[in-house]
Amino acid sequence: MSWRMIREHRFSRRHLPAMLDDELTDRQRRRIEAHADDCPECGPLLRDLLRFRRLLLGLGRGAGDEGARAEGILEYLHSVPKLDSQRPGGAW
Amino acid sequence: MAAEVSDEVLAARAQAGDAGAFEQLVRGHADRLHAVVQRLVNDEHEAQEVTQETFLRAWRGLGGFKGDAQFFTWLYRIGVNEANRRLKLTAKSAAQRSLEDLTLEPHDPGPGPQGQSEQRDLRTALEAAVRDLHPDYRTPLVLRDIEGLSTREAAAIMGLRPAAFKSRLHRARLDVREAVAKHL
Repeated sequence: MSWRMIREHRFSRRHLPAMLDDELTDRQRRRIEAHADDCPECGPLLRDLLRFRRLLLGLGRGAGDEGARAEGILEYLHSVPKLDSQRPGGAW
Repeated sequence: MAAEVSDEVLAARAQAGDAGAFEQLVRGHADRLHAVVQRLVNDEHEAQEVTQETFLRAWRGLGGFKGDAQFFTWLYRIGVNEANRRLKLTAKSAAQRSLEDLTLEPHDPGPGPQGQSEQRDLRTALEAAVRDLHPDYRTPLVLRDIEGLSTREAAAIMGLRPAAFKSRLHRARLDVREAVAKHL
């Protein structure tokens, strides 16, 4: 492995988390992408992590926006015995 | 049409004893908080209890909300702490369905192209891998990658510095990749 390849490999590994979180400059991002095209470790790693990130974000979307839980919680809060009439800091 | 009132204004009103303002906060955050908690405790009934307890603690502890953080950050922190406290108490993680038990169909006999089937399998494997993470690593992944919170927000909820949060998140991502790779 060439010295340049080693240097780019280290750079990519160090900045991979920031790449996933869109915290890199365009130049830094392109540098990692260029290395990933040649590196048998970084290429699959980057592709997998980006793919998983998209899928994981999809798991959270649409879950829990219906407003259905609130009534049950409010019912519970109203059922809690009034231990203290002072609000907040006391019973509901 | 009435202007939307911010969480922080509602929280201030609730601090002054306005239960109606707190009810609005419950309506605004209950579903999302429940979804986060459920990913952490992996049990619907437990998630419901944790969510209820979180709002009760929030109400009782409103005096401690200083307004220097966003209300949802403060609320989620209570929820995450409560979820992790329950996990430790019940040691449920050991009994959770393990990724080892997961059977992935190599070919979907049902309708739809194979690509969709593979995508579904991958999603199932990912969910299982997230469930199997240690809570210290599952929480950052749920908050950042599934819920889409910013690093700053998620780190604040966990009470971590951003650098420490990022370190845990990266480890979680690598662990998930390793777990999924074994099953695909």
